[in-house]
Amino acid sequence: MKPQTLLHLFITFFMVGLFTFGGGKASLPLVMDGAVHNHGWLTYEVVLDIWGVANSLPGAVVVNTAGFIGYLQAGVLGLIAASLGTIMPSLILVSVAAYFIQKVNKSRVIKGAFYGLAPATTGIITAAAVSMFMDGLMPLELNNSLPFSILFVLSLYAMLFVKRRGKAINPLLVVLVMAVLGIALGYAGIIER
Amino acid sequence: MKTFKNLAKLYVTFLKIGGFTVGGGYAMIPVIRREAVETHGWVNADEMTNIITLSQSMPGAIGINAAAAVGTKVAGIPGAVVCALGMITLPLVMVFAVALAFEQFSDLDAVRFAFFGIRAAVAAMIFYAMVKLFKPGVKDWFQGALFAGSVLLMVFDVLRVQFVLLIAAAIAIAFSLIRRKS
Repeated sequence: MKPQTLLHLFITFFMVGLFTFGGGKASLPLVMDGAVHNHGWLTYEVVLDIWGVANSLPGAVVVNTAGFIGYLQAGVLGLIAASLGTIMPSLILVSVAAYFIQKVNKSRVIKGAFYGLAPATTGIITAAAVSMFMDGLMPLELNNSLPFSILFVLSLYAMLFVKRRGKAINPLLVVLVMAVLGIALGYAGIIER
Repeated sequence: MKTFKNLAKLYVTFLKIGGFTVGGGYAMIPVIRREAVETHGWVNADEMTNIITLSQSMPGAIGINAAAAVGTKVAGIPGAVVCALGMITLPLVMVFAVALAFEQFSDLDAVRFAFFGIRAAVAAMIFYAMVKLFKPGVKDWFQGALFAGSVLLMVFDVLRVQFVLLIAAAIAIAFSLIRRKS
């Protein structure tokens, strides 16, 4: 099974890299499409967990997500295949484009494409948020949804409005605080598994 | 020998940038600019501005794109490869460590409780991304229409995400070329 899995990981994350526009923030729907819907490697929830971890580690969010999923599928080789797949489109396109950098930056076709890709990227991430709401913000047991909603609102507030030295706070900090709060609520018996 | 030294220097520089910058591409750009322009003088300020514009208009991670562009300017395609690999080395070592721990301990109560909290933070990140992308991404009626269209196509699962993006890009290219002519 191994060589084939490695190839699938490479191709899947090649596609994720190729279709991620405007940076890693918007990559989640593409990862979901490849890893959950297309291959059924992991559940939606586990990919969310991985994405959260990937956001809190240094480096590019897409590459970290790919490496994590690759590792869970096929060990260290999977990690390497998936992350190389993710950066391959960048390497090819950027190293070619860098030779014509002024032409590319002035290109009306590329500007036009981004004029459409910017709202479409916003749309796909909005759809991810809407679907999440329609699914009841995730926790399946009803008695968990209130603590979950509170942690969600706290996190969103922290990300949008809490500033340190004029800059938004580090996502790592939010993730860590929420992990600690989750553990505290869990051992206090407020959330159930 | 000289080129090998150059490549090693590129690798080490981007190893440090990739390994110690949390917060994705937008956090890395200022660090890359400082290292490439001021510390090493690999590109001048104007070239760097062009590189940043280019890295945002190419698919993929913005930090990786910027690294690959600087690498290409300094040492051609080998430079691009070395810089991109430098960017991802240390983060992937950390990903490996976390994934290993995740595999071993994901059944523990404490880990499950922790991920209850982490999932709330991730849900918030998705909303945060939506808010952050909306302002620069939806500026006029045309972009509003593409935005609404892609939300609907995705929520009702009409098309796969890649097609939604391709169609939006194609419509926008056609629209902006036609608008220019008339």
